[in-house]
Amino acid sequence: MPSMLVTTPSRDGVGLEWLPVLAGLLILFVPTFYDLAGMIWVRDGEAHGPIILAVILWLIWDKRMALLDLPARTAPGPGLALLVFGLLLYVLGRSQMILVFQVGALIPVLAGVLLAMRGWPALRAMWFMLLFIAYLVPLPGYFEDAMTLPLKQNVSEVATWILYAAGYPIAHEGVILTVGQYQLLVADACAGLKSMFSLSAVGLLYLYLMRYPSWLHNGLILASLLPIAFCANIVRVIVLVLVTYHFGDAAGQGFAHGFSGIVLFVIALIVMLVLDAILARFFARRRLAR
Amino acid sequence: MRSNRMAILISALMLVAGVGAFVARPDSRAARLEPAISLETMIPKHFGDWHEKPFVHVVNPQGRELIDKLYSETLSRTYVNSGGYYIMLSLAYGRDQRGDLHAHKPEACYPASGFTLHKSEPGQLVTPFGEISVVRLFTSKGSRVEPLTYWFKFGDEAVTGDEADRNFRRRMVELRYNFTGRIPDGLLFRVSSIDRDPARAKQMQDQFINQLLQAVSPAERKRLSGIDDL
Repeated sequence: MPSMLVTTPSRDGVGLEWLPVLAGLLILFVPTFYDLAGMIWVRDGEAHGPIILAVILWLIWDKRMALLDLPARTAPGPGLALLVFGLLLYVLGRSQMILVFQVGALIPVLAGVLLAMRGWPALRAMWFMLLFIAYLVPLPGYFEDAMTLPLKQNVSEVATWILYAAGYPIAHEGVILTVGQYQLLVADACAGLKSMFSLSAVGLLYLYLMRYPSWLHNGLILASLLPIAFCANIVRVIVLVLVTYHFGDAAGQGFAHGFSGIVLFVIALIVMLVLDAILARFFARRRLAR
Repeated sequence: MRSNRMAILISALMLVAGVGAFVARPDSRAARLEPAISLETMIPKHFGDWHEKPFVHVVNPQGRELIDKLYSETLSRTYVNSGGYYIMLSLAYGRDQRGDLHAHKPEACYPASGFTLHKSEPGQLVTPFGEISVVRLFTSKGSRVEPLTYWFKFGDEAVTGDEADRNFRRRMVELRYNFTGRIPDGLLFRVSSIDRDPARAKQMQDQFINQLLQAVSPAERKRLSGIDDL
């Protein structure tokens, strides 16, 4: 089988120069992700972390040939500057246990490495992976707190309004819904911040993989992600209220509660895909018409 | 070759950062805890117009186990003044407030025990020694209306205020302590009264806090409120 013997001699040893860089990255960030896995990913509602990491690694692996084939042009000035900035952020974050800095440092560090090793084309090839790393950064607690309360109040208000219009005996005071004889507390998890987070991550990844040429198409999908997540969450709260009202407290707090989270996400995803299908058809027709 | 050298340079920089992060990490054995505190003896049972009235139950919703884990000392007392006005004082002190060990906020623990939180607003409490950033909460449970005033002293500062501001200031205090090899302590200072009139409650609580701060020594005042004497 002669084809098996065909090697590209120019490629031998080309990857080797990346080894010290890779070793350095592993030394810095394996402990970080080890801590992240033990401290954050084990928490409720943080299970997306390892999935996002796997997606990033896969995306980079997928692009590795494009990177290796790039001519060895460099942008040492901006590259090293970015790298040093990222490393300082890392030192501060790691020594003071500020996870936002520690994990966030990965973005300037990687960007700096790419620039210093292969110049601007490398950064262009990898921009999405760098952007996606932002989803690995754990949301700071105060940010989460600041977003969760208004979201919870809005969700309670809208859900109450819809159910009241449908004729149910429902009222809300703050984030406590009273329906018939039951009182339901809209908990932090019901605020839907996590589902907004996950849906926007999946949506971004989807758009990256689809590579639509139209900016308007991409923009419309992007803009629709958060409203879709918000509406899906209201549907979730309404469903839970109805289950509790008709089948009792145990039903509402049991299986339905955990399950509705997954269903919510799948529904939101389907809505996004349907919207995308409509837009894709519209934009394809417009291209043909030209 | 050029990019080979670059790769070596990059990995060298990374190694330096790795070692730097390790060295800059505060050593928890060497770090100094603040001296222990005895709330029981620090807070007088009589001061100004107030004296202790030992029996009324104070809201203490968290389990004993959690309290012991978070705080090294807690104190709950009820005081009454000459006009028969009752004020509940509740202090919780933790010697090690790094990371996840920080104190729980009344915003979280009152609703957890069935109280409704109607309003939460940051405010300034004026004392002869300086101002303290406090939070005023207005809570109720059934017919029991309970306005309260609290602050959280982290390290040597009262870091109460609005949410983002408070967290930022906490972080800054923690950094400052880490760099000087100290471990920040924390004190939650909370007074409340069962009173349907929020204006009167605020006035009485402010008066109570003022008289208490006047009755303790400057060093104790600093540890309770974070304010330095002028």
